[in-house]
Amino acid sequence: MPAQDVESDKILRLYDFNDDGSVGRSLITTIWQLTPTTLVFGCYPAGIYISDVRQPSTIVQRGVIPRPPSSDQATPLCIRSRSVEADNFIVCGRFPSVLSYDLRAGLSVCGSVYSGAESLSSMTPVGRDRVIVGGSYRGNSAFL
Amino acid sequence: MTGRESFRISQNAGSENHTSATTQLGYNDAIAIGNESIYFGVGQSLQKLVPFGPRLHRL
Repeated sequence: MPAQDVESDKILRLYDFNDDGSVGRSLITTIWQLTPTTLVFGCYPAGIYISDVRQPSTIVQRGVIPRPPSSDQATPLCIRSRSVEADNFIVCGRFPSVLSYDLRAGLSVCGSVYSGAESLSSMTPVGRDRVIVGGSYRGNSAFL
Repeated sequence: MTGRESFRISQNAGSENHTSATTQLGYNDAIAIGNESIYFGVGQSLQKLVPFGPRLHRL
């Protein structure tokens, strides 16, 4: 199995769901660095969190991704910045739409684009208003 | 990262005793690369790694 080694003398634990008494089992599924000091990460089953890396164990904001009626779950699988503006990012996952967020309005969905896929696992913005996403459409892998 | 690749992070405790710990990141683990740090999630834990320097290399 190909692997990459990273040597380090410092590994810091920023946050652990075991430490805050969270009910249920949350598993971190995706991470994105919005700014040098801000991380956004998503969790199974449907969590999305903003963390300030200058303050270990600090979750600045937390939210729940709304589950569409057509999906069994709303687990985020990929988060990317939407533009150079640090407040905007987009999320896709085990649901058919790409969701957009604006942190100035809090951690609630401020827009969405329906893809028609069952699940979207990866994406990358192209230019200012476009994004390429990859996922599963009727059980088959597809670019959308 | 694809399902056939992984990252292995070696944590050295010091140059004299040569002890180390290894974290294996697999298919379902999340990782983000910043300018100075690597952030990764293993299960329920969000962790930050500060590399010595540009020592990424493929085995």
